[in-house]
Amino acid sequence: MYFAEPVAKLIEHLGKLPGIGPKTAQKLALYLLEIPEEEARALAEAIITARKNTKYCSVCFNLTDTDPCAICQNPGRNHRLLMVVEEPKDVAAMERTGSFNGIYHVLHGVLSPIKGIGPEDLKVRELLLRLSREPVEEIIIATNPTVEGEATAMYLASLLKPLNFKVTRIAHGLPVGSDIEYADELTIRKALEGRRVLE
Amino acid sequence: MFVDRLQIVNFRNYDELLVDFSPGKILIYGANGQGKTNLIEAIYYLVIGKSFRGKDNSLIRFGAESFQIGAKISKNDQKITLGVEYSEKGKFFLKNGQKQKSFSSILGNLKGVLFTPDEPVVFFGFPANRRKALDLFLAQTSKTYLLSLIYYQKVLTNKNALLKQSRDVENLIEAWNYKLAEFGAEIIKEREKCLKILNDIIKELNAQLRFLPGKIEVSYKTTGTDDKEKIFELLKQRYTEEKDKKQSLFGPHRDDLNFYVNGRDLKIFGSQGQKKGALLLFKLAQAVYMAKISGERPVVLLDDLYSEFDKEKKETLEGFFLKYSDQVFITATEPIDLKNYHQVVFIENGKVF
Repeated sequence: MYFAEPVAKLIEHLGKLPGIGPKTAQKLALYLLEIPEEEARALAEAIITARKNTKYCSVCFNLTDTDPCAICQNPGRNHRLLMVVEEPKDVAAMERTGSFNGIYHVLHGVLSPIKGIGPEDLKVRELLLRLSREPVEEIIIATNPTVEGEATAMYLASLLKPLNFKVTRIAHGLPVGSDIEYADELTIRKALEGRRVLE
Repeated sequence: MFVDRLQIVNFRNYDELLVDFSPGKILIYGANGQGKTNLIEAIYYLVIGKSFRGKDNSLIRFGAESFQIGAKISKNDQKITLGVEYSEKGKFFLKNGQKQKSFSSILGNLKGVLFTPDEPVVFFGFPANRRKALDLFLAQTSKTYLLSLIYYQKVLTNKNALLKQSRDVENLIEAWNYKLAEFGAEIIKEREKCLKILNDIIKELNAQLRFLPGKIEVSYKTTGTDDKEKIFELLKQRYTEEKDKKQSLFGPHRDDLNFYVNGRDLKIFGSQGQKKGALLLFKLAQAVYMAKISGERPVVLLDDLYSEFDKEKKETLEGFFLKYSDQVFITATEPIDLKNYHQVVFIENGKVF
């Protein structure tokens, strides 16, 4: 199908977004052309404002509009408990639960030799640096239970344990509210290994 | 279980084919080059998620752009459909009409045992071929085995990439070794357990069938152990060696299984006839294992047995396979002993009659 140059350009840009294929890009572009102009403008401005006003927190490397971020600055949070996560979206997921009151450290990735990602490409040095000056006692490693996430967790543990930190790993197991019969076999086995006595 | 219906489109020399099968012994006959093995290949494709003898892009019928294979499977009283579609864009699998993330999520739905005349040479060649044969069997019967295998491979690829880096990576390698040891021990444990059972079955079958005169033994030779702590220690001690060679030297990916007759290694000392006999016993044992241990009788595919055995031996063998499976496909160039079969299919130039 033929599109006028500006429309083609819009489709091209939308198509670069993650999870958007050529068809969806076309659909979105045509939608944006149909909505009232002020709505389209608001979207464009939202993108620009978000870009302009967010940066990575210089302490925990989460996305923030203030530096240090609201979590790092909050004296009400437990600064002796630090959780290491892969990405800013993991912080958001954890915060949504409202059940964690410690602070975070975002690695921005995981170890992946096949992609050429080593510790120097992650915020590992920064983690060690802040641990030397902050009152952290326990470090919870909450990388994903993927092969890379597990290896990263093991690597961090090997660095942190000799420094006398309490290092813990989030539990593996069955998703709450799901049926055992739909879980994959390794998940079930992990859940079995991590079983607890009912009090 | 058995294949109720097979439907293929643009696969090898078939343009469109729909054929219903009965359980029991099925003879597929026709002259050479008419498509007998292609039919076997299509069924086994749904067992292992790929062709046993060709790359996907070579399977598309000349002039077509994609191929499809679909099958209706009867399992106890349950019916399931499995399907695959391949084109240049990629391939995807379907179960009961639902698109699957990968083949591994449906592996084991159609359990099968295949024997082809070319196989003994391949099987008794490189150790990797024997590992592959064992893995294909075990992955069908154990989901944890399949998943361990997939994860092990992922960790291994990463570790090898690390070993190829020019810097010293000893402090980094432990994290990968730890996972490698965990999944590796699991794989070795399952292989040892399964081969012990298969070994007993093979001995018993050989006593009844008298395929190989003498004492037959299958053994698993591992470069690791089934204890993850010990593998981890081993990998730690051998770091320099692995770093020098730039690859992982210990673990299930380096293991082998060997067949012995009266203590002599078949792959070195065996005749072609002995190798063929041993492999058939191994396949038969797999069917027994599936029927007795995993509780699901497989579909058996025997390509061109007539060229391999005399009539009597062939019939005994088919009879044994039928004892442990619900459906046995047999290909032949001649329509011999038609009354022995539950269904006879004649194939000519990609058409079924």
